[in-house]
Amino acid sequence: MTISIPLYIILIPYALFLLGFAFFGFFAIYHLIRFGFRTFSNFLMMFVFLGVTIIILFISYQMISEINWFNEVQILELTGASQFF
Amino acid sequence: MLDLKHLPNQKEFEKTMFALRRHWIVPVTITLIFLVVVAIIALLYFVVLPTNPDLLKSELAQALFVIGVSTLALVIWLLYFNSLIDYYLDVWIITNERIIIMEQKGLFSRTSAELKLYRIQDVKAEIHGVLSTVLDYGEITVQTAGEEAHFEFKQIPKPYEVSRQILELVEQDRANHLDEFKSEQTGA
Repeated sequence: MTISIPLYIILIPYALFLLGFAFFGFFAIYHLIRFGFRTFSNFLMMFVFLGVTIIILFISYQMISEINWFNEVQILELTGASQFF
Repeated sequence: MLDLKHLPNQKEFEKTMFALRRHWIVPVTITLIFLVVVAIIALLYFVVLPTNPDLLKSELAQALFVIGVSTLALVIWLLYFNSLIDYYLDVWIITNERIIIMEQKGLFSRTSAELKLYRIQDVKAEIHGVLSTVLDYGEITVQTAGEEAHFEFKQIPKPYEVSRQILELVEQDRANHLDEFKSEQTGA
């Protein structure tokens, strides 16, 4: 008998991580808007942060979409008791 | 957002003289550390994977690899960006009336203080170390008569010149607030 799990289980902690990233990313932008100066460099920093984040997420999506997450992975193989007797 | 031409509680005759940030060596160092970390990861990717082609053969390994790379990239990027914000939001704004001190300490801690120029008693500039001497950056300490005895701003470019400029502004401001300054000195 084997115990197997679908691959998409791995996506759950990843989704939680993305939520955490969004939380900290939001505060980073909030600080620039609330406490930064009304200058070009301030807008440039926000633009670069959001731009690079979108690029990383886009590449991640491309790589993630190539995997069939419904495939099951065997994590444990239980040997029948009859084999021992 | 703050506007250097329209500061909070700005008086009619108040002008922004200059704004101070830490020396450019600070963001350059942060960026260099970021680039070294990225280079190490890229090197591992290009060295380890081609020499071990069996490493990503199973679907589980591929899935873990994709999620791991994405997570690592986002974590490194966020840490780098937050370090830059920490640098960018540490500012001293010097006007002909006061010094406004704003310091970001991490993502959820921020200090803001204001010093009246005529209450400043002493401005000290210090440079320690080889790199600081070569690149001309150091520490400025402002001593006041108030309850908070002194304020420090580290890694300031041209600290001697800046301290001299601040002292000149202090002298000018004292002349404008002569009555208030004398009454504070005599304790009246």
